[in-house]
Order: sequence, then C-alpha cells, then structure tokens
Amino acid sequence: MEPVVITGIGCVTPLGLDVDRTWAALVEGGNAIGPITRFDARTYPCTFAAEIRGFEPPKLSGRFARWRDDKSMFAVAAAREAMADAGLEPGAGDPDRFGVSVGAEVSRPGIVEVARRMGLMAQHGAERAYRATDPKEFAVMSAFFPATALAAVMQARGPNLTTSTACTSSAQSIADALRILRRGDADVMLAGGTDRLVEELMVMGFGLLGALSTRNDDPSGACRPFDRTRDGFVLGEGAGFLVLETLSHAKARGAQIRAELKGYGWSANAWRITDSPPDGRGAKHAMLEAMRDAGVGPEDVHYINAHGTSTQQNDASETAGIHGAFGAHAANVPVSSTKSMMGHLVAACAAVELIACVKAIETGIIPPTINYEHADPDCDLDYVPNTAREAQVDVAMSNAFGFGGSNGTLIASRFE
Amino acid sequence: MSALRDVVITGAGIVSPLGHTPAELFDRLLEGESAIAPIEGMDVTPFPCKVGARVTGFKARDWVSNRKNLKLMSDAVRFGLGALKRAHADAGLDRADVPPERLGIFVGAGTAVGRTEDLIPAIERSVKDGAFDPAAFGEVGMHAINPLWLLKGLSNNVLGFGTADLDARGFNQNYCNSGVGGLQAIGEAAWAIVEGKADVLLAGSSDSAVNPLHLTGFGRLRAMTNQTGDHPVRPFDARHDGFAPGEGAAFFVLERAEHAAARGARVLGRVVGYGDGCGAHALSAGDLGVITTACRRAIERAGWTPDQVDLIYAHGNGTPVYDRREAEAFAAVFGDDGPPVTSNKAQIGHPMAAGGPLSLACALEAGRRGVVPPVPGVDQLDPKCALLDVVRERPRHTPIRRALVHAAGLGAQTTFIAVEFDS
Repeated sequence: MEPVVITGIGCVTPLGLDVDRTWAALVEGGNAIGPITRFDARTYPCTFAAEIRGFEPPKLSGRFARWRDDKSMFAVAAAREAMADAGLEPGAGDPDRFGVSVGAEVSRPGIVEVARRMGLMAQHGAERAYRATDPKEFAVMSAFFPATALAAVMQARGPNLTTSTACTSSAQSIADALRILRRGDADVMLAGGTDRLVEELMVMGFGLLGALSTRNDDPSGACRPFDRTRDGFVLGEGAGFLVLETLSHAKARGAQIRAELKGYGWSANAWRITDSPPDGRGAKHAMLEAMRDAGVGPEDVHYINAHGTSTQQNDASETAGIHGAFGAHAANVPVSSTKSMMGHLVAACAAVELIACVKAIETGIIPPTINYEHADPDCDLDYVPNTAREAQVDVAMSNAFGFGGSNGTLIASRFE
Repeated sequence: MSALRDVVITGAGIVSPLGHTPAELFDRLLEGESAIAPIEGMDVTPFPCKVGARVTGFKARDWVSNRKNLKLMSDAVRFGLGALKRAHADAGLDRADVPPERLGIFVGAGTAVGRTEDLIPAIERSVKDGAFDPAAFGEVGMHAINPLWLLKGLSNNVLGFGTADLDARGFNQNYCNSGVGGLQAIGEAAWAIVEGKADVLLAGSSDSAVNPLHLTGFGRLRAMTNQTGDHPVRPFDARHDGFAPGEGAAFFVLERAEHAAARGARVLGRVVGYGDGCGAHALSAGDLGVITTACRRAIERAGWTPDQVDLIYAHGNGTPVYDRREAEAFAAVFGDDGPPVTSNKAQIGHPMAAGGPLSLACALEAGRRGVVPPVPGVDQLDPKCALLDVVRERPRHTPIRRALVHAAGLGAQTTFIAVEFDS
C-alpha cells in the first residue's frame, strides 16, 4: 500500500486567516472568543462565539464570482493557501487524477431572511415568494457546494465527496482522501472541511439544546476543556484544507513533504444522537482502529489533539476513551484541546486540528489547553495546561466525535 | 490490496412509491405502472411542477425500535430506517453473529435543513410595531420553538438513529453529495470491506424531494417537469421537459464473498467497479469528459471492456440538458452499438440521493430475471439521444451478467457502480 503524504496546508480560523497567523496564536495561547458582533445576540442564551473577522472573500472569475457563500469562500481561501504551499497549480498536473473531499454541512438562512420571506408570503402570496427565490440558492446552500466550488476553481475532475457527520465531518473527509489515494483512484486529493456557524439559527439551535457555554459574563474564559467548571462548547467557524498525495507522486515532482498521513480510524457510538457513552467506547474504538491502520502503538504517539469540546460529557468520555485505548501509557501522552482558543469549528475542526498536529511535528511545540484552572477527577490526563510546551513530536493523533455518534481519528507522523 | 470483486451483496431493502420490496417495485415497473401523480396534501400553486411520486403504505412505527425518536425523524429519515432494517432482515443478519464493532452503516443523505415552518410561531411572537424584531426573537420568540428543533434537521440522522437501532458500532459514513451520495456510500463501503475494516456494512440512501424546499429549489432551476398528463416525465424522449420529485430509500448489505459463504448467505450480485468525478464547470449540466472518465474507470475497475456491459441503469431523469449529456457520454464510451439503457424515473420520480441505490435495487432484479423494464412515455427519442438503445414499449428479455448504474448530482458530480451476476 502506497504511503500518503501531506504536501500543503491552509486554513482560515478565528485566530488567523492563514496557517502562520493561526499557528502563532495557538503557540501563544491566544483567544479568539468574544461577544458576537455579526448580529445582535444579546438576548440569546449564549451571546458569544469565535467569529471569523476581516475575511476578504477570494476573487473568483466566471460563473463562480456570483456564488457568494461564506462556507464555500472560506474553503476556497484555505484551499488556495494549501495548493500554493504544495506548489501546485489548479489541475495539479492531471485533473482526472485530482479529487476533492470536503467535510461540510448545509447552510441555514438567517432568521431575518426567514422572517422576510414569511412576510412576503403572507402579504403577496406564495407565488411571489417563489419567484423571489434566487435560482442558485438551493445549490449554494447545500452541503456539497464547497466541494463543487473547489472542483471548479481548482479544476479537480476526479473523485468528489462531501461528508456530513457534524463535528466528525472533516476527520472522515480527510480519511476518505487517504483511502482514495491508497487504492489508486487519484494522485492528489484536496481534503479538509469548512463551516460557518455564527448564524442566528445555529446559535439558537445549539443554545436551546443546552450544548453551548452560557458564561456570558466571561466569554474569553468560557471554553475550558477538561476543567471541572466547563459548561458547554463555544461556536467557532472557518476552514482547513490539506493537499494529500501519494508518496511516489510527491517525490516525482520534488514536492516538500510536511508529514505523512499515517492512518485513520472510524467508529459509531450506536448510542444517542447528542451524546456519547460515558465509558468512551466509541472514542476508544476509533483510536485503536487508527493506531492499527497506522501501524503504531500507544507508546509511539507523542501528542493527542483532543476533540475536547468543553462540554461536561464529551471531555469525560474522551478521557475515558483515551484510557481505554492507551492503557497505562495514557498518563504519559500530552493531550490538548486547541478549541479552548478558537472555539468549535464543527465540520472544519478536524482539518484545522490535523494542521495543528503537522505544525507540532514540524516545530516541536505542543499548543496548550487554555483556561485550565480546576482539576476534574474524571479528566485526569496531561492536558498541557495554559502554556505551550516544547517536545519532540514524531507521531500525533487528532480526535473528532460528533452529533449522530460518528467518531474519527487521524494520525500524522514525521516523514523520514 | 485485493480487488473490489470480492465484495458481494447479500441483502436489499427498499421503501419506494411503487412498493416495499425490490421484487414488487420491479414487477410494477415491468407492468408500466407509474406513481407520479398530482401532489396532494400540500399547496403546490406557487410551483410550476404539480406532480410527484410519494411513498404510500409505509408505517414508520413498525421499523423504529425506540419510538420516542419518531418525533425527531423527517419522512426521509423514517424511510431510511425502514430500508435499513428491511435489508438487514433480507440478508438474514438477525440470525448472523456479527460483532457490533465489525458492523457499520454508510449513508448517502439528502438536504436536511430543519423545517422552517416550525419557526413560524417564534417569528410571529417576535413582531414589534409591525416588523420582525431580532432582539425580541432572542428574548421571547425562540422559546416558542421545540428545544430539539436542531436535531430534527441534522443531516446524519439516518446514520445516527440507524447505528443505534442496529447496534452497528463499526465503520460508518454519511455523504451529503446531492444525487450521487447514495452510490458513493455503496462504492466507499465496498472498498471499506476490501480494506478489511468491517465484516458487514449496510450501504444506501434515503431522501425525499416532495416538499416545498425541493419544489422551490429545482423549480427555480427549471429542472422539474411542468406536465401533468399521462407521462409527465419522459427520459430521453423528444418531449422531455424535466423530472418529477420522488422519494424513497434503498439499502444493501455488503460483505466479503467468503464471509457470506461461511454464514450461508444468498448472493444477489457482486460490486465490482466504482468510478466518480466532478465536472463543475456548469451546475447540473456537467462535463461530458468527466462522465465518460468515471464510466470508463468503473468498467476498468470491474475488469470489463465496454462491449461486455449488458445493461445501463441510467440517471435518466428526464431533463433535456442532462438526458443529452448522459446520452453523449454513453455514445462516447459505447459507440453506436451500446447496451440497453433504462431508467425508472418516469415511474418513481427523482428521489435525489436515493435515486442511484433504487436503480441498483432494480438492476439486481433485472440481473436475476434476465429482463429489462421499458421506459414508459418514450415515443420518439430526442435526436441528441438517438444513439442510445433505450428500452421502450415492452420489457426486453436478455441475459444480464454485467450492469452499470449511474447517478448524477446538482453540482455536476457523477458516480457509477458496476455489478456482476454469477451465471
């Protein structure tokens, strides 16, 4: 089976609009969480989030210039950075052997727009409301649209997939790209995820479920994964993309190789759609599958970028899962949640967190879990509290677990 | 890595507007029956398309173990649970001893956004001085909404509820990729079996387009039919003018041939090829080269040559632009002496992501029986589809050893699955 390597990385996150700025903030223990500015959220159960700010949508030509949708634009910007980093032009040499795999979810209209349409319907009838609908809207809002946009902008005519498993989406989309390259259906894959979440209906929906932190008097202290006083996750948004290619293809074109994508593991909780079993069996199974696929053992793993959402339930169950998968070695592995600094990027989180793993391997720095103050007896691992740590990282693991019960683990390693 | 051809299909379960087993659906297709009829129970006055094919006679309560969850399930999710469990039973998995960690589900899901109708009471409560007031929405309006509103709109609910219902804890996926997600779920699941990641996978799709969201979305794209007569959808015919929305679900049980043999399972067919691509230069019309490349890739993966293909279950949705594109692509691959082509969308409408899997269910029946259903309503082929051997007027009896199933998506995605039947 041919090894698969990472030759390009790119991201748009609340901490920074590219990899360099995002990584610098992660190392410094930065914090992008603050009051929501995109709309007036002061009366919402949760009034803060990690927003993307100062983002200039990339300039596109032709038909795509008119298809403005932030989740697709985040994806195009991150993918352009990744392609440039990999030294690849659109088409990547052979467009038929170049594919796209994206983790994304459907977009929801803003509540003001929903209200406007309902008003239109009440006042002027349903037919008028129908005629006022933009013909492009259905496609552009759909989950698959970022993958379509990337296929067009990057001239990727090969396999084109969109995974929608909530917070696990991009862990699975990246693994699919790995599988496609391994079996020889493509030479190069652009893989990652994108999400735009700071929207009325999302803040409302997650808020009504009680999943979000309501620490409204202290937004910057709200995301505190593994801390005993954690009270929910914080919405983030953005995109992360990686250029993956077969080792032989990367070597033949003399590409810089940032790391090897060594393996993946998937599992399902088969439990309830919003939470995971307390024993962390699904998380454990995904991590074990990933280690088996990568051919590494617990003692080989030098860093775990946790899913670490800062909900009571996820962090305890993930900790139990790590104990289950790593046994006695669990206490020795540094585990950190970068969500503490940039919130939860949902369909994009695993892609951005895998990029953080690649940077940890390259720089020998493990980003911290910030806001960690109170030890929790149910969360008893080394969470790299509050400040980054220097360490040799040869193999790094990234976890993602989602609503619906899908779990995904990715393993990257130093390429030698 | 061993070849895709070791993967066999040992069970099929469907929910469709023309029946609840593959055999029943296929019988009714052979008889030329159509489920496309004027849409009732919904105000269709704003939409140019007035017809659709709906599922009838399906009782979700019979298929959902935890009935408390029914209130969180859309129709499409309920169909999905039904088809999953029918496939599971059809393959005899209730009697098989598959460890939960080695059992998984791959889903091609449709576009779920949550019902905006459910927001009406909240919006009405948020009106101040005759206008919608966002602050009032946060304060009082949103609290009129069921706190579980978001969950009903999750795009992976078939997967989430299905894995819990069947205690399937192994490899799983959920593709939201327009019309191709269902066939991709099957192709990717087949590869996961080859990779050794699971002993048994259920793969397929569930979707519904008979709702205001799809009638608006595809209506505005002028992709739906405006006809209301006897044959409103006429794939490849000169009078084709669009598709009719459909709904349904189809799931299949995939496992290694030796695993199936060891448990004495009956084999319905082999998944031997899978190819996909995306020609996103133009929405829905697609790129001819990408369709031919994906088609050739599936044929190559299957170890066939184009002249060995006995049947194509086409996307054949009845829109002029895509019928012509598909016909051109098949002409490029098969020349002017290609295999018989059929489509079921004149009879069951277009069930979006579930379209490919429902075509696969039909292809399995066609292979077993050696007969291809005709496409009703085809009198005179569109001149640009004239090279196709579209089966029409009466069923065609012919031995079928190798069949291709094609599905296409709104984002110019194209996916082929190649199935083979042991003679």
